[in-house]
Amino acid sequence: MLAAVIVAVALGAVYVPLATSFRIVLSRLPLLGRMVEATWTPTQETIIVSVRLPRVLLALLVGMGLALAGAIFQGLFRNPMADPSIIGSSQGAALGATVAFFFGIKAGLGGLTSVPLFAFAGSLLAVLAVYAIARVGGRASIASLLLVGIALSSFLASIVSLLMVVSEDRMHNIFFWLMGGLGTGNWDMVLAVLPFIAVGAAAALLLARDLNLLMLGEERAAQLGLETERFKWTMIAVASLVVGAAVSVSGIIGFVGLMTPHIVRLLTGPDHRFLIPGSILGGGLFLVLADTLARTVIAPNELPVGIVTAFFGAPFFIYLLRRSRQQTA
Amino acid sequence: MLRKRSLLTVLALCILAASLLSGCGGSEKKGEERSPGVFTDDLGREVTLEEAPSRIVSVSPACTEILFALGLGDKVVGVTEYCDYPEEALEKEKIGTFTTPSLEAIVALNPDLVLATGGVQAEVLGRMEELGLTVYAVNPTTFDETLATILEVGEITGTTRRAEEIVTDMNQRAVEVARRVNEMEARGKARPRAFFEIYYENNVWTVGKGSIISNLIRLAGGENIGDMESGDYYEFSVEALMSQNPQVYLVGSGSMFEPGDITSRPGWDRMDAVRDGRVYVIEENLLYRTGPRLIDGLEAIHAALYPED
Repeated sequence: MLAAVIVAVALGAVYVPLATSFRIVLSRLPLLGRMVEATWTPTQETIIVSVRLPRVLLALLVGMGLALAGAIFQGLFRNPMADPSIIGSSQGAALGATVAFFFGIKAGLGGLTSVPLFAFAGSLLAVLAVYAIARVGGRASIASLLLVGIALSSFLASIVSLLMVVSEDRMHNIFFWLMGGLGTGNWDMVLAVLPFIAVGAAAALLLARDLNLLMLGEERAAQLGLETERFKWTMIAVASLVVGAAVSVSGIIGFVGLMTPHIVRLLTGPDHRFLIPGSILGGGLFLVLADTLARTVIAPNELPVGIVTAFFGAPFFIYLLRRSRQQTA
Repeated sequence: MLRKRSLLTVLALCILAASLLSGCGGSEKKGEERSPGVFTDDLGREVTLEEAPSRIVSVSPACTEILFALGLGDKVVGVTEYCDYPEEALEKEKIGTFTTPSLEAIVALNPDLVLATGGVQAEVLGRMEELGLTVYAVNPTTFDETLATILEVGEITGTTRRAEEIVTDMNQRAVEVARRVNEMEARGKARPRAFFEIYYENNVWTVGKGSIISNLIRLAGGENIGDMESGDYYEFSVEALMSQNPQVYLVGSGSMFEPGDITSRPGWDRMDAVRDGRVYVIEENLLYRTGPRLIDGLEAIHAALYPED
């Protein structure tokens, strides 16, 4: 993991030797920093510290968040096709970002521009709306949540498309944001996302056992003493916050949240006590590597990172699937 | 009435020419190479330049053309993948595409000025500033604004005199086109109704009132059918196009190579413009790039609208 981050920081459109990159990063750490002698140019330092490092860390956090949310939703809905966008959060974020672009809102909050802020708000509002609509007499069944989520997502997506058509000059901005990418990642974004991912990960790790119980079915879990209804909402809230935070800084990056948990499951089995931390690490690693490829393959041009995640993730997943089927056969 | 209005147009152009020649804002005397200082760019950002820039990165083909025209070619250290004019620009370091410039490639070139545009690049501008780069954004959307932009870039790079020469020449040629259009109108000829195609696939994409091409068609003496919509670019249904029946059909070179290609489209030969052989392909870089060659684009459109001129 650490090795991947170091390699990712060393690779980019501009060549900086691996050792130099490593030492520049070291020099910025407390205590250790004094032991490193500065033998690099200020330009190299700016590239490593201000451009690459925040971007790599952001990729790490976003990947972690997406995979974590994917694992939670797949467990909660007992549906292998569940992914982070399942109950409207991604489309909500997309609409939030689109509105910020469309009205050219300039507001900011502590170094964050209006786009990630609106995306985050949109994400949470969408999930709340899905929950409010799906709720009948204080309870919402998983099935109706899924259906309402799909319906509302389509509705929000159509509004996004409409705004794109109506807004002539901002169409490109919206389009590029929707494609997903980490190109504008900076330290403010890293610091803004970090607490959400950290708290979400901690909560999911603590509740991983209960998620195992829920896999037995809601009735059985309730008999074993799990307050299923409250537990479900806690999990949905955790996953939604994590997704909202991840999507708000990176746009819509597909595949990571859907596939990482499956890949990890093939390696660790279905126990959430291993699946959750595995997904967190795997998702972070996956997106860091994918973004590094996206940045370097056709440098100085960039590929949209979503293309890379699908291009390498899908064949790898199919390979793992075939292998595990052969073992059980 | 017609005549009166066209006289006013000429007058307005002359006034414009005069005002442009005296520089923007009238803060400096004509022809004096101003020492750099604090400038306000097209996005209203304050940009401070301690001294005339000597390492310039251009993040748009139009900016690249302006810089080279101002004689700053040897000071340009980085350009986008799309910058293909003048030919020397191809030799320069590439910093990515117009839409996704690579931040680290720009930083590595250690520029003292990054010339960018608004719009698509608005998000990236903030990032560049954070990295301590001096960024100046230009965002002209009409022919006149392009003239002003060239003067602006001349001002911030200490090449005011050269910029004035370029703008004077462009302006004189534009006034000449306007004069001919007025003559035609004085003779009672209606402005030809023109349609501009930027892209074709089932429907046609055309230019609305807000676009630079619509502005050029107007200046060249045509009436742009796409002006029904206010936006930049939008999809126009073929049915609506048939019923509008343009007299002149203009096509950007990115959409069609030969005027004859249009006859292979089913039913298109019923359009007046196609039947009369008034389909013209125009090099699109002369129209989209708000730089010194925009006047060539204006003249090319004028020649297409008034072939007898």
